Amino acid sequence: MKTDRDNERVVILHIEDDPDWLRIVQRSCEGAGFLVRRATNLAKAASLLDSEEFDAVIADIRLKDWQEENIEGLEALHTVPKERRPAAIVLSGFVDAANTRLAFKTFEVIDVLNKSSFESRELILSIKTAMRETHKRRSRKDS
Amino acid sequence: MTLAVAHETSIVIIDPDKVWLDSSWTYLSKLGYKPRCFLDVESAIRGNPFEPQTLVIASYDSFRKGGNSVRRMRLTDKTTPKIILLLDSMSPSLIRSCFKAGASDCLLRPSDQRGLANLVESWVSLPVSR
Repeated sequence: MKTDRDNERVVILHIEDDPDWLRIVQRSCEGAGFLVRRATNLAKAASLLDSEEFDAVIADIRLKDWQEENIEGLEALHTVPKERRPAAIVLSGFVDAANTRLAFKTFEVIDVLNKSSFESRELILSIKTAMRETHKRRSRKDS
Repeated sequence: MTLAVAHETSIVIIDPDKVWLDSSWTYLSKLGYKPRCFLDVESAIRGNPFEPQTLVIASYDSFRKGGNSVRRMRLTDKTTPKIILLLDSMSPSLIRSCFKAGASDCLLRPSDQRGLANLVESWVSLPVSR
């Protein structure tokens, strides 16, 4: 059976529990020709990250099982070895100085986008940057 | 042990405030560091002070005026100096701007040179690669 990976389609993992935002991001990504896989909780995200390869991840910071001081949408990424880890973008309605710095510094995200000022074009540009970073990581691993 | 590492680490400070630069140079020199100070990014790049273990501490304003200065600093040395940008206030958009430009970290500007020395010590005792 042919997979999307075989067809060289860009595959994005979206970690989000809000159905409205799942639809918004899907529309933006599909408009740019990307395929979107969805994970509405951490366990699903970790399972998908373990079994499939993604070109980039878009993660919300707070999921339903959110606990203070955690940026849970990103925690799933740490289940993947660094050299295989896709580059990530945060898309959240809870962006503040502390979690923005933490996301960049600890999780090495490519961008932090605020839902309140969401622009599809900006998301697509960030995804393209994330894709390049993911491929760079994987080529370093292979060389 | 930390001090031994500190002496090997080249420290570059970039800030348009000459008084701050002079005080920083004096304070850090007394602690045994050998800081090199520059008023702007262009002078720093021309001075080519970047070595494998360089720690660059630059004010956000210097960085902003220097265009793609963080990337240019990195290009001067393939071993990638650590670049810390100092902000007068922390907001998500400023932090985003610092990291997207390639900074290793961004922090509130220390209120005095003692704070600056603490910042230096916390970085030079960390492993070099990020």
